[in-house]
Amino acid sequence: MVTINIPKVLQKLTNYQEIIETKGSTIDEALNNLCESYENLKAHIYYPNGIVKSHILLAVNGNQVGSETVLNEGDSIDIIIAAAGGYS
Amino acid sequence: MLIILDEFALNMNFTNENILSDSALERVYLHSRHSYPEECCGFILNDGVKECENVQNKLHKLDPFKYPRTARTAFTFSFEDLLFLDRSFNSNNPVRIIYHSHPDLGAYFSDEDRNHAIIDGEPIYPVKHLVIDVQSTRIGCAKLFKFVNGDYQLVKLFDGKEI
Repeated sequence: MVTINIPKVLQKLTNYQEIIETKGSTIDEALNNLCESYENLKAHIYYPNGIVKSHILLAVNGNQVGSETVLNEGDSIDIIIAAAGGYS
Repeated sequence: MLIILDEFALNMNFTNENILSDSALERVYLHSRHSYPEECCGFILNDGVKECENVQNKLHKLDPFKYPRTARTAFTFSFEDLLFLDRSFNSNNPVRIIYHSHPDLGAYFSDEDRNHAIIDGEPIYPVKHLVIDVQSTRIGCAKLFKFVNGDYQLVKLFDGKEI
């Protein structure tokens, strides 16, 4: 099992759970399992083509990783939403 | 130094907020001037200021189609700074304000800023936003925005400074 830390702004989509335990041998698998349990999360994490959205950053045990990253038992995944902006 | 927008501030009960000291504002102004003509970004915490790296130029160089803007007109926090931001909310020294500068464009909360600060009508991070109007020889002013009734609204205006 691995754990996924849900950003506060998305916790209403996980019944206000902050940390969710799930299975997955890669980040992608774990995120897909998460989204199966909490369907409304999917549109916030993935583009329709299945690619993780560009403003969603992923970390395992504090290190930035890609969605293909292989997970180990007990890993802790952070979903971090980019903070950005500019003039318009 | 500090101008309170009396009527609005009183209505919204913001007058008692003492979240931005003169020394913190001075540091933010200096950061903005040193970064000119590019945008800077950083955090204001309970106990001080953390100047952050604007990685927009790196992103633009990496993929100019995905990231067409440079740091001249945009900012993005580094992953390390975002992790710091995220984890600060579970600490005794949380980030209170995210700041960034607008070189030669005035201090306002742009649509771009808004798009990156709100999801489903809620703020992504429980912070206020400070936008600094930085010019070639001075700081024009700075404006503080707070999430109220579904949007970020101006709550305080800070005078500019020759710096």
